[in-house]
Amino acid sequence: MRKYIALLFCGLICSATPAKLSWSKLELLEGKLEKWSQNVGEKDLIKIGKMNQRPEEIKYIRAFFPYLLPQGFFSRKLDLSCYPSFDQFKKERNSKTYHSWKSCINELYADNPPELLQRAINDLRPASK
Amino acid sequence: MQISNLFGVEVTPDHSYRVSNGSIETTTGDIIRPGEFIKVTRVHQGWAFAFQRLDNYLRPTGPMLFASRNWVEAAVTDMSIEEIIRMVQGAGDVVQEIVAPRVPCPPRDDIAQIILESVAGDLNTGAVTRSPRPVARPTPAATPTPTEESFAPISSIRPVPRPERRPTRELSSFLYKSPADADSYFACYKNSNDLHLDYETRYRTSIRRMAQAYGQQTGGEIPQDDVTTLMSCLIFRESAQWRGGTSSTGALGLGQFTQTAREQVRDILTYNPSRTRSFDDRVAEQRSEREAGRLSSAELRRNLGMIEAERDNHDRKVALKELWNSIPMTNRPSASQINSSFVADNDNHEAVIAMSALMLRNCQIRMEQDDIEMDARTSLLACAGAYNMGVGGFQQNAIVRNGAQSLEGWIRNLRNSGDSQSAETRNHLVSVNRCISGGENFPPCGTGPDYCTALPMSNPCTEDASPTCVGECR
Repeated sequence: MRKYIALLFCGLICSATPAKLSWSKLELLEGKLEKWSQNVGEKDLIKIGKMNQRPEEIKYIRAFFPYLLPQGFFSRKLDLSCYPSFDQFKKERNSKTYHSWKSCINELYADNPPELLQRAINDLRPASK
Repeated sequence: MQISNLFGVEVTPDHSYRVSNGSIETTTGDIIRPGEFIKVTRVHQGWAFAFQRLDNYLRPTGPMLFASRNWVEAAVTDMSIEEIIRMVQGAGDVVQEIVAPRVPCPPRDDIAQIILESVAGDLNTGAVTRSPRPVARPTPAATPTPTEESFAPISSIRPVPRPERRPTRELSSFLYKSPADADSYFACYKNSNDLHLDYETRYRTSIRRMAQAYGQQTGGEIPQDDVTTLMSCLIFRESAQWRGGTSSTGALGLGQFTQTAREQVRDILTYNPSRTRSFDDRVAEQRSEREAGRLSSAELRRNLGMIEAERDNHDRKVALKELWNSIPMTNRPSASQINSSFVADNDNHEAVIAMSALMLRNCQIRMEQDDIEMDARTSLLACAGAYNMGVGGFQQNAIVRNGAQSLEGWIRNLRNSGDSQSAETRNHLVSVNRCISGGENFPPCGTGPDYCTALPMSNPCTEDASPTCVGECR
């Protein structure tokens, strides 16, 4: 049964067949990941931050909802640093705010961002007018 | 809801599994390697499995361990009944052979029977959920026959001994060369007399002036001489021994500035905080909004995270702008002047070196903000690595666990990271480290990804060899 549920959300988080990211999917994810992070608890989240083999959920939290990370989570401040520009982009969804967010990510990762962020940069690019 | 690897085994509590498709990392840093057996006890907090290692008799042993569910599911396979029997029989023989004089083992047929009954009981009660995934069976040739020669275990089913922990380099052992010794190093490994002369007559002064301002901003916490040596070695490396030019990736000049890095510098130089209200006031306002019931706790958390990020970004940019303004320059460029042709021109060495200093300091401030504990010298070397793959990339791929504060640790993590820039960054780190290390004069690395990715050094540049000793540079 669990696999069927997972299949339903494959479009959101399944790394085997990544579907295109969209704002509506991210909004749906935000609520779910808020609950997920509450269930896991701060203590375990901090432990997860020190691991290489992390749950998939953490990738999404770090990339899009870093405010859900507790104080003491490894790289919390780093992940938070592009959140203001991402939030602005989410509100305005235009080329200017997109470029600002993209520059912030590219600066952090020297033009080689992690796969999920690269996907987001490609998928969330505003349509040119 | 668990979002799992759809192609792994469905792991069920109270069942035993063999680790076979890669290792499992636990929250305590233990690594469960292929060939080991585990018994999953329960799901922990929704995200992890709690489990124990199994000994040769498939008995749980050692402390309870925790690991991400998706990684466990991807790494384990079910055990067949035949496999269990074979393992216990084989294990009993081996253990008996080794420890029989002191610890008599129960007859192996009895153990196998107990397990068989136990598994059969589980099957009868429907407690065992078998994965539809076929379990790899041993080939007949690999199946041990009960002869004396076959007492040696099949290699794959034995727990793999952990590699010995190599001593990590003490923080204090990052001994930097003096700037004068670094100059000898550059002379030894120079690319050409003309380029080296440029360093001696122009760049060296710019680097030392920059280092003075850098040291002052840190209140002397970072010795000026260390900054001088590190920055000299970094630019020496980046510019291919003071040449500069354009790299295959479009990075330009002495500091090899990419378009993104140029934008970053312009962003710092044009930063002009317009907010009139303090961050503390904004935090207080959010809290009172929450108290008044106009904000949910989730909204409060999000808004506080936003303010925290803005405050950190503000503090960092203000400090960097101050550093920029404190570095002496004959011709200080405006932000708009910093374009591709500007950074490609080695005549702009003063500004380009100051820009490189901003990159280095930006990295150090970010690591301080994230409470990554590192002494100043270690942090400088780490930031030389981050110069190559970005602070985020370096934190994620090299530092990873907060404990990785040694060059060996970074190299190891980078090697295991699978990141596409990993080899280049390792090469870069080793090369810079060879340059800065006091009392050593090992050659700089070439720029190919296969050079120098191992730490052991060779071919030291001696006085006798100078100036023909060019190591791997040529």
